[in-house]
Amino acid sequence: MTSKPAKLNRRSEIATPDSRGVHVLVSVTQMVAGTLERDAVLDAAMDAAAEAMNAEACSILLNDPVTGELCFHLVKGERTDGLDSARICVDDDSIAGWVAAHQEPLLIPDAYDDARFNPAYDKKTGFHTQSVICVPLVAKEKELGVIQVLNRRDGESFDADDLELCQAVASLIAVAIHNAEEHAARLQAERVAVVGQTIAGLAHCIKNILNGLNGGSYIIDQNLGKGDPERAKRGWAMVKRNMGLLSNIVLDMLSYTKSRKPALNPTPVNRLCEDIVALLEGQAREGNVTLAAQLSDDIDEVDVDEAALKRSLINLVGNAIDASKEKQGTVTLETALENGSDRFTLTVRDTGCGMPPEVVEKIFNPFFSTKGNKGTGLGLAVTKKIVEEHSGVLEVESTLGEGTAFIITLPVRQKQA
Amino acid sequence: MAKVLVVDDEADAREFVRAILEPDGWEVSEAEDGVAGLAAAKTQKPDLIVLDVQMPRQDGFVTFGELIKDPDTADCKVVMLTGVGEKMGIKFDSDSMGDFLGKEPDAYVEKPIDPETFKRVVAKVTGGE
Repeated sequence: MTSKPAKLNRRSEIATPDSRGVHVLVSVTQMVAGTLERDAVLDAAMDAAAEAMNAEACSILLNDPVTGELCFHLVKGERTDGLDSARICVDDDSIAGWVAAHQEPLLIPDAYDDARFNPAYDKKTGFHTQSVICVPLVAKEKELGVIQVLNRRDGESFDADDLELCQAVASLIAVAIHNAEEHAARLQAERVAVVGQTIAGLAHCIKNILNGLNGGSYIIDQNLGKGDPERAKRGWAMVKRNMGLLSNIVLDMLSYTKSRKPALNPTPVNRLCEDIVALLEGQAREGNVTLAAQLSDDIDEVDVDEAALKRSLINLVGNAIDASKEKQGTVTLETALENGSDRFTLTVRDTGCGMPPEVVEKIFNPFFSTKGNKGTGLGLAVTKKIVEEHSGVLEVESTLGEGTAFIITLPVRQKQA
Repeated sequence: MAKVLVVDDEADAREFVRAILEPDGWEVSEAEDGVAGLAAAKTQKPDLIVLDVQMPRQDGFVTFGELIKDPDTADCKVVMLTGVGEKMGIKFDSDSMGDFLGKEPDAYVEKPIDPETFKRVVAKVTGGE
């Protein structure tokens, strides 16, 4: 790599222009390839470019699709107050506007000598613009805006090498912006689709609850006063049951959508497990299922949100009981300390009907339910969310016809955020 | 007395249908899922089968398919209970079950059930028995 002799004198303290350029391009390319966080990429790329070109200030101006004007998206350097609200028309009244209008790069050695230069921003900020490089930002034929680089620190004006480097960086930055916008559009489309699916799932659940409420009230009407009081009581029980289901759905929906920090408190986890067994014993017996706890003596108190964890375990144990009814199987709730002791596991293991792989794949999806009308489909999604909010992991192992195990792994100690 | 078999995995839903039809003189029997429903239909030969769509293990569509194939049950009138807006696009991705099974149920009733509508549909399907 050779440098031109005339430049060597001026820049003997810095690396040669060519190697500088390659270095900047390599690091900017890595940034563009590495992350989709658009603003982080732009920030780092502009830092690299400004350093390589030894510039006092630089900025990225992006097109506002609504007004067609340019606005400052990123500004680096001193004296930048007041630029945030600046809007620059795409016309010949400023260097940036001219570049955007003509889609041609400009290298201006002395700004105040150039008719296109608009001193208004200097007046606003107190900055004194000397030399300017301004290049268009274009990706896939879409005009995104411009990049401006101002004032070489050594007092000399920018030259053709600087212009070339700036154009190369601009290409990469344009690609980064374009990729980030496509990614955001894709995510948005996915979100819309998920919301649509969720609403359909919700409507289905609520329709079934309405059916139960209609049924209960119809039966009460039929039997109030005249008719069979026993039937009226059953009708009322139906109404109450469905009100409970509705309440569960709402609670599940709220749990699922709210990003919650768990309220962590030292909790005797074995006692919590015993409470759950006691709570669900009746349900297990009704289904001819044996419910038991296998609790490790090595664990005492752990930092968890007791209410949230209780909800999760009730969900898992309830599912296990349902799955075991047909086979009259067993459900065990186990606690154990992991080797190394800073994590513990809670396992809900059943010898019930198990699940085929295609079901296991979907069980954590909201509104996916194998229970026909009874399941809201939210229970496991909520449980997974609760476990993850505890910085934990929820895993499942299942063999069709033999049984299933859900394993929650959580840290024993946690810092209260 | 006319016989009706109600096939739905939810006890509440079965009780609701019973409460609607029994006062009109129907003899109501129940089945908890598609498999049990099929077996009950073969033995009882009901005049009418009220069949829910969404059931675990074997759903209403598959059960309907079996019912119309079996000579013991092919003549039963079938009213399908559906909780979904459209008739049945979910299972067969088509507007017509008839395209796939060669026959449509005699009627569809959407959940949540409106008792008066349900009675009218049953009367129409069974010729006002």
